[in-house]
Amino acid sequence: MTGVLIQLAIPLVLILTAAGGRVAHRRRGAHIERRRADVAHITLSPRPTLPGLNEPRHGELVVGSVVMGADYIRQVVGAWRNVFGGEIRSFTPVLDQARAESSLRMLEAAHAKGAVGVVNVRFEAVRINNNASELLSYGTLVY
Amino acid sequence: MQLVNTETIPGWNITEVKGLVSGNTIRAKHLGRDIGAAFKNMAGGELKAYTELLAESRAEATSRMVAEAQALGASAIVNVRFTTSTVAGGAAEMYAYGTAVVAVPAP
Repeated sequence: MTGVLIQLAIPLVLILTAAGGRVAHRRRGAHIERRRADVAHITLSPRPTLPGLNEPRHGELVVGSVVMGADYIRQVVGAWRNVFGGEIRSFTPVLDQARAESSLRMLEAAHAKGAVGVVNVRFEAVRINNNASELLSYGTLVY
Repeated sequence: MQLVNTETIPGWNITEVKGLVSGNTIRAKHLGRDIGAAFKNMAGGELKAYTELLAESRAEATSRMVAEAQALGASAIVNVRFTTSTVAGGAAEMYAYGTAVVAVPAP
């Protein structure tokens, strides 16, 4: 009896944490949307210059980063996908949100310094371990 | 020391190129953090301990690069790039590099 309970408990815990992860994912998405309004006036560009915005000013780098992992259910779905190939749709929203978070952190840092734009923006993703990746955004501030 | 990831600095003239400068650091997390992160991984979401660790080590790599540029007598680093790679199980290398230059305000 105890053996059966333990066997049931493990998948139950995994499913509960994953379900919690789903809820947290949606909550983070809403949080990102709210914060976006505060930095909406800052222009982002992957190009090295923004015509008309490059006032002579001290050059400064700005960085935003986040390490994000996918929940257990997404990992299982992803592993399954690996067998047949194709887009791993369960991971797409996770990385998408993580990149949004990292670029938002960069924008918030730019906002704190009073910048009106970030130029030469670069995005990078680096795998940290089996299931976590760092999303890095950086660029140069213009005033 | 001015740092930019563009080739030029608006409003400044680059008068001298001192060469490529770089800084790196390899960091490992401690076991407690690793185990905590493994649990967090099941629910997904941000792994704050790792975010902080990587931000700290990137700042360290940057300051080493800046020290190298200062030793060369540079006043700015242009074209700064960051790279990260996982070199061993729990360790990540942060590498920052750029071109050390002397920049003076444009007349």
